[in-house]
Amino acid sequence: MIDLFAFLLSLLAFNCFALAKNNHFKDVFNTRPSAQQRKLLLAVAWINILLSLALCVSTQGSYGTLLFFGYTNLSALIIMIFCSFLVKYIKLLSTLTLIAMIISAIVLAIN
Amino acid sequence: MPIPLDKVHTLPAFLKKITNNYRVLVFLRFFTATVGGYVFTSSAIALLSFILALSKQDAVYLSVSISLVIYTLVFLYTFAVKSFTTVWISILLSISVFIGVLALLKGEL
Amino acid sequence: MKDKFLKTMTWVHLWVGLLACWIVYIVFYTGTVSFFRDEINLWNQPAIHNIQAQEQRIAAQKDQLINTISYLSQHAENAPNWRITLPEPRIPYLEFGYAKAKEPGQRRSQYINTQLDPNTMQPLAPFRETKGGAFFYQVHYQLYFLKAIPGRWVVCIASFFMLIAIVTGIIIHKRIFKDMFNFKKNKGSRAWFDAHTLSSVLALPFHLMITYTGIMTLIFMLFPYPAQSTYDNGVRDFYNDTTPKNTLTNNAKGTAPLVDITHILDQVYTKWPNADIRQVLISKPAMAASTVTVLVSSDKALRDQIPRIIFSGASGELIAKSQDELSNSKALYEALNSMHTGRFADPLLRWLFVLGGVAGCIMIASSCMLWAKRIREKNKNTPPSFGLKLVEGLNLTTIMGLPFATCGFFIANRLLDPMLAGRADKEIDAFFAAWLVIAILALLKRDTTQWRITAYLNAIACLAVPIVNAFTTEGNIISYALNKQWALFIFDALFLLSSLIFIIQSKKLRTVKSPANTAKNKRHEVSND
Repeated sequence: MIDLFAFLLSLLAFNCFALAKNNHFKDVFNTRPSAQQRKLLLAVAWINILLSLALCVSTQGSYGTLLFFGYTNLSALIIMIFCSFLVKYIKLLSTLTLIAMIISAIVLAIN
Repeated sequence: MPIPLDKVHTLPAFLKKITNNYRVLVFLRFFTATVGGYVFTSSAIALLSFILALSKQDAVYLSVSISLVIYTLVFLYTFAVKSFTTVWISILLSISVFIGVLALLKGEL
Repeated sequence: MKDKFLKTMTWVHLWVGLLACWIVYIVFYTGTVSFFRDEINLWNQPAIHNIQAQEQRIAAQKDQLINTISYLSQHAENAPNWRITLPEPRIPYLEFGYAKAKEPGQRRSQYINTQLDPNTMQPLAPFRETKGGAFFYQVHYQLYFLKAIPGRWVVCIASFFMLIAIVTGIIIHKRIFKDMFNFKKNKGSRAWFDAHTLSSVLALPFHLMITYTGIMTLIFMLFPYPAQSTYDNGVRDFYNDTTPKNTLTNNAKGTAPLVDITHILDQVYTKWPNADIRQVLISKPAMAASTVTVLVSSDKALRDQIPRIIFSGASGELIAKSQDELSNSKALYEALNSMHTGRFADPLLRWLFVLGGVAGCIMIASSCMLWAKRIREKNKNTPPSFGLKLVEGLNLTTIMGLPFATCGFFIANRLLDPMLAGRADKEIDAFFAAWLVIAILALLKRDTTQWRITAYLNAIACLAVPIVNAFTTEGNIISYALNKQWALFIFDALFLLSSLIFIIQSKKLRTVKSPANTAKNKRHEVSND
């Protein structure tokens, strides 16, 4: 479960990194992002990615850093596929990621 | 063997012609980067593992672990600096210093 | 100034890339395949396909050791060495054996081994002789057909160039994150470039790590000098200093019965309560100088040397053991080495590593294609130069030849008689013969049609592997799924998937205008290929 949560953090982070770019934001929301929106997206992205790294390392040490490399690899790949071929579904992906994150966070908090 | 005196004055010109040849220069840079870099790294880490204030084991472990970082940096250095003369002289000099210091330290013990 | 620097770095990136790309591709490809060494060994050995997963694998180890040692003491009491290898999660069988006395001139003694099903402790059907995953592993670090030291040097040099290529790639990729998520398909000339930069950037930490740590595994061959300057007898002394070994009882004379193994195992379990024992090695079992070495798994710790305890075989006292806590330098070294082989990886991390490996293969393959494109564009209206033919030929041979050779290896494993003498070498011959077929095709022509032909050949070969498996063994991909034999199922499934990918490739190639073809058409002459 912790693995899943750390991965979802990474996925959301790359989602935000992608949306922070003008062309991708335009593809999804049909308008260029304002400076404030960009800043917000980048902030959320960085917080998530660093949180993911911190979680991996604090729970599994050096083994965790290797997992983190793998998560970023997979997340970036998924976002790249969505941005290039499945642009219509990015909003859906973001929503699902958030929901899954909340659920796994709750499950983690309970145990 | 008698020196062909009439050819001697053309020798520097000949050398200059070779070293101005682009392909030769490229090969020399590459040679310096790979072979020179290897010798630089080897002598540097041989000296390093000898002088590090760690146990013998640890000194060796640490030196080999960072060897590739040194090698990569030297390799890129040989290409990053414009003057090839600077490059090969500095590398040759450093190697001599490393080996010299190591020999000195070992000789004294 | 900065511009000139970038230009130089670009030049270095291109040229070390060209020098190393095909060897590095072979290394990356076989490395990714070797990551499934245990699964390949499993698939290659039908005798162990139907071993049930042990329910209490670790708890059963004590009795397994007692049984096997008791058998060995009855049947091989005078052998110089005994060896018991216990089952692991990815290696389902138990193997135990004893060494025959060394013939003069032999470097290592030969072992007589028996393989058991750990659930029943009954011998398994005889194994067929095969190198299995070890073959791909040996290609990976030694290029198999080269001798040990030269082969490893070649791999090291190529890998160092790979490291330089990665570092210079980072330096020159100015817009490293700007275009990261953009992959415009079908944009012809940019497609290969995008594939190259994307596959590099997506798995960049992995590529850096795997290349650096890869060379680290052979670092003492590359740089024996630190050990030589610090120790009198160089690397040999260093190894002796860093490996726990028996110094106490080596000089004991005469014979002595082997102490009861439970006495030793109790000490192991006291020290490490849930020890997952990998191997037990007993040397000189009948002598007073005997030693019992117990090797224990380090689970997810990044340790390279398997932790071990050495006991006296005659008295059962503890003689030597691996350090519990490693110094920082040793921990760094062991971490770097263990990261490369990733023996500690659980299935999640293992598949993430494979993802990185595949990204690496795409990165290198696309770089090979880019080089061919570069040469073609520089020599637009001239007949193909030797350089171009060489690059295109090596591209076709390496990229399309390796998968085909892999299929050949596995099909040979199934088709060769299980009891045939020298069949292990014949399987490897099949690998290289298949590769040679593609090489010959590449020698003849290197146009799009040739790529399509090799794509078809690969599609057929990949499809053949699970089909031949179904006809020559008891199981097949469907039975594997039904019986939850997941490793075998995934193995067959990956070949079906690969076949599909090659079919897609051949279909796509039909619609691609070959730059070589259009150039040829323009010249209105039969090319002198």
